[in-house]
Amino acid sequence: MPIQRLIIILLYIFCLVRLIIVGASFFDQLGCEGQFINVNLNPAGQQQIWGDQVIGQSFIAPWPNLNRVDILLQTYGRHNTHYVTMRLLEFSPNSDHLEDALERFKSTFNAATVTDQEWRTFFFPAITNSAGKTFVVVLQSPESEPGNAITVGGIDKDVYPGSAFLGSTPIPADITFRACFQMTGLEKSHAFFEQITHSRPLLWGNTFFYVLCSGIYSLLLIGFFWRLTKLTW
Amino acid sequence: MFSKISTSQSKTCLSILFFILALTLVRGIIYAAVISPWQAPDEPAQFERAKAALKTEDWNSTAPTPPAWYADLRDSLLTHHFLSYTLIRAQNDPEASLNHYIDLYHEVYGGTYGTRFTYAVIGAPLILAQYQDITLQLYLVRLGTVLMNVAIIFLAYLTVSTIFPNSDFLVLGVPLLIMFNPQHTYNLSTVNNGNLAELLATAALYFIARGLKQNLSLPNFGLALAFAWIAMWTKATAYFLFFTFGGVASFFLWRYRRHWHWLFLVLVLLSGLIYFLAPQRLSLLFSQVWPLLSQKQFYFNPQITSDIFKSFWAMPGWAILRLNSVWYQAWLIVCILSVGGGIALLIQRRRLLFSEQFQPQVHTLLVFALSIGVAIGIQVGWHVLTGTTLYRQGRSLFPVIVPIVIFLMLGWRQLIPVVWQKPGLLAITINLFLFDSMVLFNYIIPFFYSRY
Repeated sequence: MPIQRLIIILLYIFCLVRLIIVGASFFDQLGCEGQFINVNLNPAGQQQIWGDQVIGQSFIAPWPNLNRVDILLQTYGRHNTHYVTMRLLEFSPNSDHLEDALERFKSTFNAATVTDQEWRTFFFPAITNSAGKTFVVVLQSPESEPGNAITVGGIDKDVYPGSAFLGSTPIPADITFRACFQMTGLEKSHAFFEQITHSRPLLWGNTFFYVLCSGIYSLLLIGFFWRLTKLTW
Repeated sequence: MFSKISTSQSKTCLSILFFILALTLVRGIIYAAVISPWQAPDEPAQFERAKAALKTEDWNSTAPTPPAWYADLRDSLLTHHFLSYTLIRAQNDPEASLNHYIDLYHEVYGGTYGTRFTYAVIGAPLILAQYQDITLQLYLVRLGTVLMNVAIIFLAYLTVSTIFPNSDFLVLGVPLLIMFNPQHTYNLSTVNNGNLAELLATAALYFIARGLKQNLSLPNFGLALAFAWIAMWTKATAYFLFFTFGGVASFFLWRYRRHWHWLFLVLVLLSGLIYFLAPQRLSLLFSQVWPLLSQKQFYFNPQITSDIFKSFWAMPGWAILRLNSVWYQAWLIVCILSVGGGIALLIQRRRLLFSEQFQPQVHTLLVFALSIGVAIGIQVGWHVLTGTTLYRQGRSLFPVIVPIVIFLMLGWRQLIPVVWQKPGLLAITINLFLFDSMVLFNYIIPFFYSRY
């Protein structure tokens, strides 16, 4: 039936578009550094960002050209209306106090634009000499009040070599965040393969193994969908 | 001409099966390589048992000091930042003993968890590399698990071909849905005795389907019983098979009801056999259930069923990485649609339920439905009786994944007009592939490879 064939063609176009989106998102996350776990699914009231309550997270940038930070935000399942400020601070070499840190970037957004348990991206001009330096992401919202405030995702355990901050006090927790860098595709691929082969034995420590597997998988997929389409066509 | 078309379609189905099995193998190899070492539920403890099973002294922990490879295993946990991806609250300490990081099964369960024989089967690949790097050993055991997955997918194909030989939608759709289930691929690329239990349970269910189709064939049921018995000795997730056979036995009882005195004798003999041959843990659990029921204190946390559902599809890592909730909601909607389709099927075909021609199919589906109900009931029921939220993982339902997927596909098939079923199968496959690709490339890989 011609209409069925048209549907099949549209299906494959849809598949291609979705694959491109998956691929773009994958590529986008390559080379990023961060902490992805969020177990804070039902955040407590004390975690609200309001008034003087400030929440932050420190990290050491492994690469130069830091140009983006993503944070997983949570809304308590309600509509919040006040403005929230995100600041990116750089610790000075001689001090790890927030008060002494240098502000490198600042952005303000309305909590009403936040979607619950979604990443929020903050782009800023690349910090070319970021490699090896310690930064802190800080969120504050002086106008917010309990019942009308947002919070962040995170884990109440120190899993990441940085620390969460409540006010200016480091706490044994980590927020859900990632820091990304301006890198070429080659640099991102290199970073990824360096990680995936690190401390792995024999062929699992060889980049070629992963490339070969991906190639075989792609060929099998093409053959498989060809056969499946033949059954359907 | 029609037989030629039929032969051509059969050849196409078989060639698709070949691709499904090859894809299962390659996908498993990719997942096993990409998943960071030790990053599946209880993988270090499971590996410890699999390796210990190859040496009596290690299995029984009779030596005055732990085996030397415990230190290698601990060092590997530290090298691969094991604690950074789990909720385990321990400090990184290169001098600490292994049980500082993981619960060792022989210490926690006192020998009632699993059997040496089944763990030796899981650890068999280690014979090739006993004195090699322990991470290499882990990868070899993972590859063995990948091969188990290939066997499971093949058994799924055989099971559906037995029950529904004329439906390409089901014969191909069921193995495809299992193959592209990211959580299933994740678990069947890592080390756990649940994987062997799943393989054995799937084999048991296949032979039950064959036995019911072949007019209550005793040789098939004998094989099913053998696989089920080993499955139950492998892991508690196969205990539902006890009730599955109860369902099968009811068909025998009905057929041979006139010879009730012989049946009574058989029942007594079987009860004795079950008493002596049942796994120790099953007996322990049975003995714990009655006092709990008597207390009449029941609990229910909806998080249990929610997490079981979500982790059945995709909750990688130590069930710690959750997808965006929209994906779980999408799965809930399609599953509800399937249930709707299943109800429509029951209503439309209700007269066929009692037709002699379809009795084998109906009996098989009844037994499968019972298996699913018991498997879910055990997990949820244990929480209701004890209040514990420890057991709320979808992987515990993988031993009944073939029946679950059969019912899902039956429901979806009912909603698709007959002439659109093959394009419908293609559409389902494409969406499953896209979902799996998204989980692998947008969640699993970024999760494990975002620390420098």
